[in-house]
Amino acid sequence: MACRLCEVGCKVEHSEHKHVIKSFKREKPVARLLVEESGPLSFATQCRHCDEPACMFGCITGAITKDPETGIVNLNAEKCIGCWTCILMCPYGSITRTNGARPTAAKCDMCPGREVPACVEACPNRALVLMEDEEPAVALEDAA
Amino acid sequence: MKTFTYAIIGNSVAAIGAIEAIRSVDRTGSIGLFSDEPHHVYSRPLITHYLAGEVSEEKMLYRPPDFYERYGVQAFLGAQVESVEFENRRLQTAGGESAFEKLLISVGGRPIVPKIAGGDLRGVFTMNTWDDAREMKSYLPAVRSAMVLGGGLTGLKTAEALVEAGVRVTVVELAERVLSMLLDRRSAEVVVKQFENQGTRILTGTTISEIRGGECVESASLSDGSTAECQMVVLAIGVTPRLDLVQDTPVRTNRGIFVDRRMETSVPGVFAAGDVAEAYDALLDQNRVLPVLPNAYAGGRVAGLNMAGGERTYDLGASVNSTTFFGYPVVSAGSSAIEEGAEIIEGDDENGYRRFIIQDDRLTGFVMTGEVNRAGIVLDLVRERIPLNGLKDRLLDGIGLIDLPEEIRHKKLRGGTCCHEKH
Amino acid sequence: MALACFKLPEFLVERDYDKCINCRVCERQCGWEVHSYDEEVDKMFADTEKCVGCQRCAVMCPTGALVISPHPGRYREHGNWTQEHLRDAIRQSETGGVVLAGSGNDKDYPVYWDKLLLNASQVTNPSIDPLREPMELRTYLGAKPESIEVRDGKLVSQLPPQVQVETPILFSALSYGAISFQAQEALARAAAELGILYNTGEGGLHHDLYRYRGNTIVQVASGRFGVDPDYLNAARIVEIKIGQGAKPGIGGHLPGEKVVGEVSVTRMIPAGTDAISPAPQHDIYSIEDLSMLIYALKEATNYQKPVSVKIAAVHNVAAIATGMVRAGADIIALDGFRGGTGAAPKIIRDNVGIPIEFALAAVDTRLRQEGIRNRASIIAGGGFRNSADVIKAIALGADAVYIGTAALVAMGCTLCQKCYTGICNWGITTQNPYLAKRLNPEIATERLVNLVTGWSHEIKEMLGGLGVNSIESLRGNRLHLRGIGLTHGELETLGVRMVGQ
Ligand SMILES: Cc1cc2nc3c(=O)[nH]c(=O)nc-3n(C[C@H](O)[C@H](O)[C@H](O)COP(=O)(O)OP(=O)(O)OC[C@H]3O[C@@H](n4cnc5c(N)ncnc54)[C@H](O)[C@@H]3O)c2cc1C
Ligand code: SF4
Ligand code: SF4
Ligand code: SF4
Repeated sequence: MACRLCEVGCKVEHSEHKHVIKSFKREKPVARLLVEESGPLSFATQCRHCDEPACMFGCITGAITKDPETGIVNLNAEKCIGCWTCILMCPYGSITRTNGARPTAAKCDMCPGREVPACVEACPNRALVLMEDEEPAVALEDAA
Repeated sequence: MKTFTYAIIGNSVAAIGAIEAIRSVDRTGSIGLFSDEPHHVYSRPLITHYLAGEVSEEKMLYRPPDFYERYGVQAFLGAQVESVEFENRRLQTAGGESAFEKLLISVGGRPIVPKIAGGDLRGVFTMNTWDDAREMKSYLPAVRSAMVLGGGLTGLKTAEALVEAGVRVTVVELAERVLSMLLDRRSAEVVVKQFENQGTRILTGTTISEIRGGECVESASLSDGSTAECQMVVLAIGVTPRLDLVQDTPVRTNRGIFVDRRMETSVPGVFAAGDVAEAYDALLDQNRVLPVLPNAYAGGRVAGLNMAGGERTYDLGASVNSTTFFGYPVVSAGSSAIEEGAEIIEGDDENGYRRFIIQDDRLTGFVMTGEVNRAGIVLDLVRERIPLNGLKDRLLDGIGLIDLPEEIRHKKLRGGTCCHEKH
Repeated sequence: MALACFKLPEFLVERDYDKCINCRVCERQCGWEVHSYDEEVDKMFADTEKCVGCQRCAVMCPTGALVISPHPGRYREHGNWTQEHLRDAIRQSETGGVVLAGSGNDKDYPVYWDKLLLNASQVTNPSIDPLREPMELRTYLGAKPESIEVRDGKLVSQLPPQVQVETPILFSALSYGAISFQAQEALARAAAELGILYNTGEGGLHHDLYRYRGNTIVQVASGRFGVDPDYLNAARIVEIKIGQGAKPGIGGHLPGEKVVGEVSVTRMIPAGTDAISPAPQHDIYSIEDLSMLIYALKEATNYQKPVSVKIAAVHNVAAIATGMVRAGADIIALDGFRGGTGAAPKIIRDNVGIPIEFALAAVDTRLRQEGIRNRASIIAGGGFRNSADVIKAIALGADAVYIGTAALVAMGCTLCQKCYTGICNWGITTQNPYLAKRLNPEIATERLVNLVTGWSHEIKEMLGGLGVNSIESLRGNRLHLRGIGLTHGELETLGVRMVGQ
């Protein structure tokens, strides 16, 4: 319903302070998912954790890997040098850039250490659901 | 003599793509990896960042130190393959001979070194390997100013690194603009501006005619007659596929090693990928040498899957480039460099410069600088040849998935996995 | 702003800027466009005057930065001219129109449920623990025969059609058009899960809801929207709507702008035309006319479905009800003056009709006196707020109750009473797709099921306390009730004794 609370949840989860007010006031966190809107239609998009991740194929440093066990496509910000090749490769537009002096690429990491990703938890309308059967991915159940 | 199920020559991105692909289907077949460079697999594009002092030794590694072990790869590092007998399926190194069932040639390219008087002085470098970068780095204390010959990607990234290392740099480019393979005139100007902001001079339409000095470089003169003092000259006028191993063999070559859609050469069981290969360009629908890293990985991967008995075609090949100059992002894809013969939509605002090339209501290439988020969605319009219809007017504002025609969007969102390789 | 505007804002929007993170969630959630972000000063602002106090933003704000409260700025206090009277008069002086309102009568009339108290067993008869012993809430709606014949333990007489519900709580008529499809779907799904019924209202039955036919009451109202044989036969009960508690004597008007797309298809009228429900049913001017319609509907449904007649609770309701029963109604639905509405002239909502407590008592009493109580079930509606209201209504004589507002509250409604505007920030009473999609039918269904399940549990507890193990045994048993603070006349009409007696 385009309230974008998922983005707020994601930003807080991926911030240093992990506190909704502090994180926003002290940092400039970026959301790893994006709500797109056009007229009444809206949906959240984020990394699909592809079988054949184009971003990983393109990453020039080896910062992006796909965990063979969980299937999660991870991005190691320590390795990333911010060339944005992954941004160019991802057909979903699901990789974004962090703010700051040394920006790096950032993407959905399925919130390690959390049972339910922050976006799913933040959604007041259960539009985002975690689907664990095939690929790990947060999917939008009802796009409309 | 050891026989490998899979032998791979060259230890870089295409090789890793192949190894990871092979191991995703074949856990046991033996893999022999031969490399003339003595290093664990590292990221070639990072060598300029290494030179600039931005990237540590350990972050140079493209895969973790235990990679070969985990993937069951017998790696022969520092072992140049001297020749290959394609009929007998043998390859020779200084250390001996090995046999193989399937072979991948992923030997990359080598820098083109122009014949210039003084080219053998100390202080003249090429920039293609980690060792090149190391040598340059250790030479830096003697350098106050440097001249970089070649305004291509390697030349400019090296120039950037030298500037960041505190060197005064002049770039000399013979063509009328830098990055002429990737960018049109206006986009190139955007890049030049980034250098000028750093006080770096970029001279076009000229070249170095002579390098002077006693034992070491002291100055260089240009074809326009001028001379400038410098302690270092970097030759970066391009790379060419390393074809020595296949010269006068049944392996068909053109500009590079010619491969089919399965990345197989004219010799069955012998594959090629990466900068050495002349592989399918999905945007142009013809074979081309496209020496960028994403193509190396994807090509290597397709080769690996086919070597391991799969049936895969290579569809990801494209002219794609993304980089930054002094932190300023520049991405380009497809027919980005062309100036005419197409409809061109341009925009220039605080978000950067962008340029879209449209032919027959299809996007065939683009350039985006500054704000590049979601460039992948635009690239997908090119790849999938999606008719633009009304989308044309929205290109400049930034396209989201929501702007795509409904059926395409649904296919994308429900389909789940992205890659363009056909199963 | 023009001088013509003398209105004070009704609500105050306070934002704690120490907490606000400029996420703009409030801006996106408020259909009244109260909040806005100013880039220049990097701050959120509020246009307090537009706020209707629905609290959507306050609950959605991730930092709890918002407080919405009644505006402290008030006109000078006056015992006769309340703030509301002033406000309405000012508003009308501006517009020259009728003041509209949604929801139900919110005036301070006595609520008789709160003056009725239930009994409980002590010493002389044991109470029952519903957790250990069976407790029956199942109810059958429809006319019951004078007598039945049982042979060899088997029922041999032919019964009029009966509709079984698992608990005597039904969802009252909320039409598609007045409420969003999402909201109606939730009602239908919840009814199916609970084994009860929901009521289409007068807006027709959307084709996607035919699958809930086993739990549907369809309405035939003065506009006859969406009525055809399929519609009638998709129902368990067919209900003729004569009147509505919130606006007795008044028809309905769904403006053409709302008659779009699926709403027009479902109502079976051209898109863009006003959907007018005339005040009277133009073919009913007498009990005989009503009877003709009742039998026409029975005929059309092959005598398989009970026919209900719904009227607003008005002064001589008892006499009307006996006429309805004699005209062939199998169910009498009584809607008290606190019943909700999507849109009604406020003056009517607040001043016409009588409380359901009296209407129900009067009708039950009258039908008993005439010996025809068995010929119709009674469904009472109009302002039921909790399970105690429900059980008291059953004791006063209802077979079941209709809940409307309570169901909306379960789905998120905060009674801001702006239903008539088509802007419902909770996605319930709106056709605006931006707003309607906020209501996830799955969540709304769960909440409705929870509410009715909770109430049913409480009813069982109370029944147990009364020492009764089935709702049937309570029905119309006013001895279980006592009145408190009531006049003799009130006690007499309600048919209950005073506390202590
Ligand atoms: C400075 C620089 C910056 C770059 N930046 C980018 C960038 O930003 N983005 C991008 O997409 N691409 C970039 N590239 C290109 C990218 O590095 C190449 O496309 C990629 O490395 C190609 O990989 P490859 O597997 O084909 O082989 P290469 O990386 O070329 O490696 C081939 C290997 O084979 C070895 N070899 C050759 N012959 C033999 C033999 N006979 N026996 C044994 N071993 C042999 C070579 O020594 C080498 O180690 C850059 C390249 C350079 C030089
Ligand atoms: S931006 Fe970072 S993660 Fe993305 S391709 Fe470049 S190095 Fe890899
Ligand atoms: S929702 Fe709350 S935190 Fe967000 S902008 Fe509104 S008041 Fe501020
Ligand atoms: S109308 Fe509702 S959502 Fe809008 S400001 Fe008032 S309380 Fe908040």
